Amino acid sequence: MAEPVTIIMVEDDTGHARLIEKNIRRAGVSNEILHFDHGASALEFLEQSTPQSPLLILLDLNLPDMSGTDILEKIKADEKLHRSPVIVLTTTDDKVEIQRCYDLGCNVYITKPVEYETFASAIRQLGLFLSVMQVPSPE
Amino acid sequence: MPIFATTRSKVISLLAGGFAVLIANTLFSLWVDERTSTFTDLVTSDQNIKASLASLLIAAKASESAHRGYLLTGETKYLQPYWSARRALPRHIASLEKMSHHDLPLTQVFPEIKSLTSQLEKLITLSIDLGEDGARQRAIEQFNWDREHEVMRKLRSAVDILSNKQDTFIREGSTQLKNYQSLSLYANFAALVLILLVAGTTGTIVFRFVDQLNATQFELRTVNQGLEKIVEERTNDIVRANEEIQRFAYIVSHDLRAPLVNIMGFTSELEAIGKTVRRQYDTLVERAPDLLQNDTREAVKDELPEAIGFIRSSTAKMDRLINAILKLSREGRRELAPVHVNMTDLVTQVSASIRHQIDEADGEIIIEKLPPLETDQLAIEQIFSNVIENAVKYIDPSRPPRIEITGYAEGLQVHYTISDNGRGIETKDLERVFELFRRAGRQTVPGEGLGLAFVRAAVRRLGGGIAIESEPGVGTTLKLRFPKKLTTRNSRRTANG
Repeated sequence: MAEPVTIIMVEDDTGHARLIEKNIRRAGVSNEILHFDHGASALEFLEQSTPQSPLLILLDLNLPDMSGTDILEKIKADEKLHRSPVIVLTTTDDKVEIQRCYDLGCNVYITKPVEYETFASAIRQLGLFLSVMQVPSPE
Repeated sequence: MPIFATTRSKVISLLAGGFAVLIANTLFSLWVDERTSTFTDLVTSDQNIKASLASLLIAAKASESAHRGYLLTGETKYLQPYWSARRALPRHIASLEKMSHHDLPLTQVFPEIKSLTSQLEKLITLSIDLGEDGARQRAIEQFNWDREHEVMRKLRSAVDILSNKQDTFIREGSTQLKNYQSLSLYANFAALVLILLVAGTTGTIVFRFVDQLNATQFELRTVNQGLEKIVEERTNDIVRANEEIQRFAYIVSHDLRAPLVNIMGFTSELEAIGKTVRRQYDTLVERAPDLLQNDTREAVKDELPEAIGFIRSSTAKMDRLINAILKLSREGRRELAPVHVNMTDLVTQVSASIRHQIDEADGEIIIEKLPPLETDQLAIEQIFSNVIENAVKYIDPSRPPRIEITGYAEGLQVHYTISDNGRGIETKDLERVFELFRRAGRQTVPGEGLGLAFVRAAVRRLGGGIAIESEPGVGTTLKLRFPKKLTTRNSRRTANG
């Protein structure tokens, strides 16, 4: 992934967030990762800042203050954010939920594997994927 | 019911009372009739006696005056009435004598009347016989006029006294008759009033009872309609509660999983750290063993891997349990799709996966022709696969396994029986084997204690029932029952419009 893409991680479980970050780093991704554990603070940051670098969003759907799909909807409706890739990374494998996310414009949907070993390897693979991925620059 | 019983006894006693009144009235009428006819007979016989007495007296007078006329004139034409009177007199005497058997006053007076009559007859006959011989003058002279007069007077007075007595009797009899007639009238009237009373009361009771019956029926209908509504409401409540439990199970297992992933993840991290430390430790042992403390060796070589090992085995177990609940709740949330299932084919297919295990142990699996079902294919497959797997899991190693699967349809239900000659289950454990995470007997094979819990949940979801019979060391028989046609909530809703 071309520097300097900033990864925005919205994840309410700090443990998960730390494990995800560790495993992404192990895949050789050294980009800046900003972690938000609430939907509202993440949205506030996304909408108010005028970032210089391109953004990639890792989004958990189960958040304590709001639903991840609401955040997804707002990002994809936002003038300056809608091109930023959104990777939904959540525990739900509900068919309807997956369809809904893609309908709302999510770019990748990943179900967190339930066993840690597979979880860790899945996140590492995601890291490898991120390292070859192109992210559009802000206009 | 008590209303009915009391009304019935009331009506029965009233009807019985009515019948009693009718019977009493009839008996009384019969008695009055009998009395009336007795008195009528008495009065009639008194009148007959009176008439006979009068006839007797007339005949006596006739023969007396005929005798006198004959003696005075000598003409035989005057004898005509005498002859007829003389013929009539014995008849009157005879009839009076006959009647005197039943009449006390007549019995008392009859001998006197009889003797007076015969005295009179004798006197007259003698006199007429003399006259006929031509001695009319002598006959007149010799005839004892006084005696005849005396006899006649006595006869007349006897008859008069008797007649008067008879008159009194007749009067008394008539009065009695009238009394009985009015008595009969009163009795009939009283009976009528009583009967009307009985009929009225019975009618009222019956009408009231019918009213009550109608009211009860109406109430019953209302209650019935209410019941149907209540049953529907309760069913909906149960369905809702069930859905809530499913949701609860899902949320609990799902939310428990998140921290578990963290524990497992950071345990892995710890393990990696442990390895790093171990490398450093090994280097230290090699280059500067003096620097090492005794407890460091123990901590790095034994305690850290042991602690991580326990955390890993515990989290792995917890993970399996949560997965089990998740699987159960997932299965409970799945929409059922009833299709026609050929059960013989399905069971044969399911048993194919365990056939090599049976063959290895020289055992056999017998599948008879099974009645088909219209149900959810996946659920029924999972049920049978779990049950048959169980039969293979818990074989008795001392004998070749034998599993038999039979079935029959009965009404709207289909029954399947899966029997094995495995190690069996203790009676006290029969309920336990269906509980989540519980297992019974020696734990010779690995498992979570999920199979039968899952089977029971699935059987119930398909509207069926499950029963188990077992004898330790002999074998186990599982009995499954399903509705021939599965009705899902959706299909029911569609059916109701």
